[in-house]
Amino acid sequence: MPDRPETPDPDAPPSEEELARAKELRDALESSAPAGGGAELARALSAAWSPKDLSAEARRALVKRALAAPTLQRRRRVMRASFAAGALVAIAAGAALVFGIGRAPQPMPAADAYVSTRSTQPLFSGPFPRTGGETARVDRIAVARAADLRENEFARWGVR
Amino acid sequence: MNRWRWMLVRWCVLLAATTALLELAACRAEKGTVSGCPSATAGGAVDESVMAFLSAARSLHHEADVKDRSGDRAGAVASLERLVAMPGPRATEVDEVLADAYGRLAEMRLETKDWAGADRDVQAGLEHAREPTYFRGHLLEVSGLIEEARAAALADGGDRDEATRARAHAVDLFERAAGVQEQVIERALGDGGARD
Repeated sequence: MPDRPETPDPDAPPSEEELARAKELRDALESSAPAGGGAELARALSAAWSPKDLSAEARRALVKRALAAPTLQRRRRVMRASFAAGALVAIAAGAALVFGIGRAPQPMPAADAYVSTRSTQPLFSGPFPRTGGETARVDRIAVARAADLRENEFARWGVR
Repeated sequence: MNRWRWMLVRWCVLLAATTALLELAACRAEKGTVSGCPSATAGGAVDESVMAFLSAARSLHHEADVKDRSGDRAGAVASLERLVAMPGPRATEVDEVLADAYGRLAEMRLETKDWAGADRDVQAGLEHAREPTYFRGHLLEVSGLIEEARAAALADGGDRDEATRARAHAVDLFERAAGVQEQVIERALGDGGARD
């Protein structure tokens, strides 16, 4: 049977090495500088048991980090949305162009076969009276041009 | 940073392309009218857009008649103001109807002694009647009537010098109106008195 390892005496005074490591741990707990694994665990336990206020510097660093990331993301989102909206408008405009949304009546080609727009003066036999008569004049103009439009429609349909 | 600048440039190019497409689409949709469309020309065939404008103008003149007869002078003026503000295709008929509507507006303002408003309407009407026609002659005549009435009002108010100047201006405008009408008649006789 091998000899069992010797159990340390719990009442024995601490060795020089133990005292030095205890001092290191105490210093690490009081300081906020990075430290080894055992000290980090002890700090976490200490913070959970009795949390301390954050230093102003640490608070500023946390706020800065928290604000920087979403701003960047938001900016990217806005840019993406802008491009998407722009592309949609361009597609809609192209569709309107190709399919002629809101298309006006079919235009008539400029040819001698059609009655053209011109002065309405020949509709009147002399200078206008000093005042009044405008309604009668526009009546006459509208009636005459309605006949012209009818002629043009017949010409376009090929029935003249 | 360069990346953002590059994205901005791309965005501007996209925006410019979209604007150009929309403009072309609008021109296509409004064929028959000429405002802003590079391919539009005057002197085309009488079409629906010309007829629509003339029909609207006729309706608004009749509307003004009805309102005026019922004592609503402001309403009559509003109907005519709506007419002259209406967008229309580029056509001689449209210009002549607008010139005549401005003449009527000026006559109405003359009756309420709104000399400045009446003169403004005459000037706007003359912009639509640059050639010697009955319409231009009529507008010059209305302009003379405005000056004549203004001269009378000035004389009544004791401003004799200004009244004399206004009378002289009125005579000049009546002379110009008569000159335009003579040109029209001479031209008509030169054409053998042809009628439409």
